[in-house]
Amino acid sequence: MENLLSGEKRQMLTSTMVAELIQQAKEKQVVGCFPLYPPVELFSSMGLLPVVLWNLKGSIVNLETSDKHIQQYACGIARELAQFAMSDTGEMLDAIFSYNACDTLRNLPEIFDRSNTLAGRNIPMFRMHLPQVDRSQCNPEEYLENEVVLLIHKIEEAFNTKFSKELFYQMSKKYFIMRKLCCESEKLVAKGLLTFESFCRVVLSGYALPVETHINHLKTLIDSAKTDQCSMEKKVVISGIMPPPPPVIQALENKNMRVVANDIASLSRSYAYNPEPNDDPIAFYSDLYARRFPCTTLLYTSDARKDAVLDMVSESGAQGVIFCGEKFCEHEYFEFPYMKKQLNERNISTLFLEFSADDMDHIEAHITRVEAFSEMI
Amino acid sequence: MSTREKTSAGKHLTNILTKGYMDLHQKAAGGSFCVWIAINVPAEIFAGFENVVYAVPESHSAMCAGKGIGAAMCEKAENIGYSMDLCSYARIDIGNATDGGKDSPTFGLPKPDLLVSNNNNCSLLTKWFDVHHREWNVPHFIMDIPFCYEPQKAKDHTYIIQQIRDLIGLVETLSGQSFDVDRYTEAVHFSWEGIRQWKRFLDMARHTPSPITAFDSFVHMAPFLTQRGKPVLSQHFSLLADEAEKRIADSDFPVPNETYRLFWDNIAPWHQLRSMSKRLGQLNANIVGASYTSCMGTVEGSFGLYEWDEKDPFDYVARTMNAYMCPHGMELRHAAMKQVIEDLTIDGVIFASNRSCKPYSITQMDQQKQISEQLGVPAILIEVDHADVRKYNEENAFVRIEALLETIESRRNKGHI
Ligand code: SF4
Ligand code: SF4
Repeated sequence: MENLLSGEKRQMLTSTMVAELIQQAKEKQVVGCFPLYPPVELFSSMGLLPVVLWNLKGSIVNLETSDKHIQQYACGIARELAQFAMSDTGEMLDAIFSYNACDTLRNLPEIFDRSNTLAGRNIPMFRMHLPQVDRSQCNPEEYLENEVVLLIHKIEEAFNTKFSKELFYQMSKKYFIMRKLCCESEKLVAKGLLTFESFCRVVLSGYALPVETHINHLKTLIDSAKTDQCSMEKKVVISGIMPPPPPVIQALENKNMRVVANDIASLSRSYAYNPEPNDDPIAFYSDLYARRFPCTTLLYTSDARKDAVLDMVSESGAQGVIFCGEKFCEHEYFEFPYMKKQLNERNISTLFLEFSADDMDHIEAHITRVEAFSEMI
Repeated sequence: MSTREKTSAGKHLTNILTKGYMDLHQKAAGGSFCVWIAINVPAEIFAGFENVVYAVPESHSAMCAGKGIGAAMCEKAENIGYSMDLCSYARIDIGNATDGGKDSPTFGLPKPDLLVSNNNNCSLLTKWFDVHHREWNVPHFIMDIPFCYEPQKAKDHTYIIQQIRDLIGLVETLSGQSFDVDRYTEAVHFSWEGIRQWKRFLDMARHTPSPITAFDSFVHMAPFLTQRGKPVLSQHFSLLADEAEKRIADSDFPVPNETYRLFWDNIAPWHQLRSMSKRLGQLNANIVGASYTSCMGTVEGSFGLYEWDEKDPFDYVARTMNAYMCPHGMELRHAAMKQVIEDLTIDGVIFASNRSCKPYSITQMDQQKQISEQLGVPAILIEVDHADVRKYNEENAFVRIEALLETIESRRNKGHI
C-alpha cells in the first residue's frame, strides 16, 4: 500500500482542499467535477459549489480504494481522483459532474456510481459531452447548446432549483474577475515579483473554493508581490497537466529560474481565455469552449497548440521549457516529442520530468535534474 | 488445441489479405485518394467514391504484432521519443512510419491523403493520428462520437449522422470526386451480409465441444477491418461458418476434450495466439468467445446481431458506430457479457488487463467482481499487452489461468456448476 501522505512527505504537500471542503460542505451542496474545464459558472449560479477534483494528492491518504477499482497504469491524477471520490472524502460530494476527456476518465463515472451505490450513497451523476470536432470541418454548436440545456434541466431536477439568467450573469462576472486576477498574478510571477510556488498554491486552491473567496485570496496574493528588482534571471516556461510538486518548484526558483509563462492545464490553460460576462449560458459556453487556450485534452485545439506554445515561449523570452509529464497520460505524451523538436530547432532547451502517483519518492532525482538544467540554460 | 492444417478459410484469408494490401498499394500509387481510418470509422463511406481507398493502421499494427515484429517496431517509435507507456498499436505504426515500412510484412501502408480518427474508439487514437497529421501535413478529420453509458441517444445519433455527412463533404472537396449514395448503400449492404455470416460463425461456439476457438475469430476478423463494404466479406465468413458447421458434423473439434469453456475480454494477445491456444488446449481449456470479436454488427449492451431493414444506411451506420472494441459503458458491457455467458455456457472469464488499452481495460476490475460475485462465474484478471510482447509474462498469466481452471473444477466438485 502506498502511503503518500505520511510524516515529512505530508508537510511537503500543498493542498488544504479537504479542510476547505469540509467547511464549505456545511454551507453549500458540493458538485465534484472532472476533468479540468467544467461549466463552473453554471453550477455556482444555481446555488451549488463546483469543486474541480484535481490536485488531490494532498487530500488523500493512500490509493487503497482506487487500487481495488483501477489499474496502476492509469495516471496518478485519475487514481487520486478515484481514491477521493470513492473513499470517505467522497462523502462531501452531493453530485458528480464529468465531461468527456481521456480514455481513462471516461470509465470513471460508472465506477464511482457503482461504488457509491454499493456504499448506500445515491448521488446524482451529471454528464455532458463536449464536442471535439474540428470546427473548420463540422459545426457542433447546436449539439453543444443542447448539452448545456439538458445539463441545466438535470441540475434543476436534482436540486430542486431554478436557473436564473441574472444569477448566471453575476457568476460569469465573478469568474471573469477571478480569471483576470489569475492572469495578473501570472504576470507578477513572470516579473519575478511573486514566486511561482505561492502563485500555484493560491490558483490551485481555488478549485475547492467559492469564487468569491478565491478572488479574495488572489487579491491578497497580488498585494503581497514584491516591488523590488527580481534576482531570478533564467527564464523558463513550464508545461504539463499539473505544475511540479512544491519542492521541485522551490528548487527551480532557488536555482535562479523564473517562470515567465506557463502552459499548465490546471493553471494557464484554464484561465488564459476569459470570456466576457454573459447572461446566456449557451452563448457563453459556445464561446468559452470554442476559444479556450489550446490544451492537449481538447482534441480540436491540437492544431492551434504548437503556435500558442511557441508564441508563449518567444513572447516571454524563455530560454528553456520544462515539460512535466503525468505518467501514463497519452494526451500529453503524444505531443512531447513534437514540441521538444520544435523548441530545440529554435534553440530553446527542454527538460522532461515525469511525475506519477508516487512521485514524492523520486523528488530528489527531479530536483537534481532541475538543478542541472539551470546550469544548461 | 490440436494443430490443424491450414483450412480453406485459412487459405482464403491469406489470399484476400495479401490481395487487399497489394491492391491498396497499387491503387494509391496509381493516384487513388487514400484515407487512413480508425477501426470504428464506417469505411463503407469510401466505397461511395469512385477512386478512394482506405487503410487501417490498427489492423496493420496487429498484423505486425502477430508476425512477431511488434516489439521491434515499437522500439523505433521509442527511439524517437515516444513513451513506452503509449498504446503499442500506435508505437508500431509510428515506428513503421520512421522508415517507410521497411520491416512491415505489407511494406507498410501507402501515405494518406486524409486521416480519420474516431474518439470513441479511443481518444488516444486521435492524438496518434495527430502525429502523422503534423509530420506529413495531411488533414485530420476527428469523428466525435459521444460515449454511451446508456443505449445511444437520438441526439447523439443525429450528431453522428451530421458528421458522416461532413466527412463525405470533406472527401468530395479534397479528392475532387462525387459521392454516390447508391454505391455507399450497396457497400453497407455487403458489410451487413458479412456481419450476418460472421455471427453465424461465432454462434457455432454454442455447440459443446465448440468447433471454434476465440483464436480463430481473432485471426479471421481482419477482413472486417480492411475489406468492409466488399462482397468478399460475406464470402469469407460464410466459408468460415460452413467449415465450423462441418467440424461439428465430423466431430472434429479444436479442443477434443473440452472441459473448460472460457470467455476472453479485451483485444487479442496478437503475439501469443499460437502459444496461448496450444497451452490452453493442453489444459483442455477452450476460449470459445471474446468480447473483442463479438461486438461487430451489434449495438451497445448486447452481442446479438443488430438487425438492419436495409433502408437507410446512414441510420444503420450511425447506430452501429459503437461496435468495434466495445467502446461503451461498463453496465452495457456487463449486460452483453452476462448474456453471452449464458448463451455459450461459459465456465470462466479471463479479463486481459491491457496496459496499452485503457478504454478497454479500466473498468475490468469492477467487471470482474460483477461477474464473479453477481453471476457466480469465476473470473480472473491477467496482465497483457496486446501488441508488445515485452510487457507480457506468460508464466504469470498461466499461473492465474490454471488457478481459474482449478476454481472451476472445485466449484464443479461442490456442485456449483
Ligand atoms: S492527466 Fe491525462 S491521462 Fe490523466 S486524467 Fe488527465 S488527460 Fe487523462
Ligand atoms: S488498442 Fe486501445 S488504446 Fe490502442 S488504439 Fe486501440 S482502442 Fe486505442
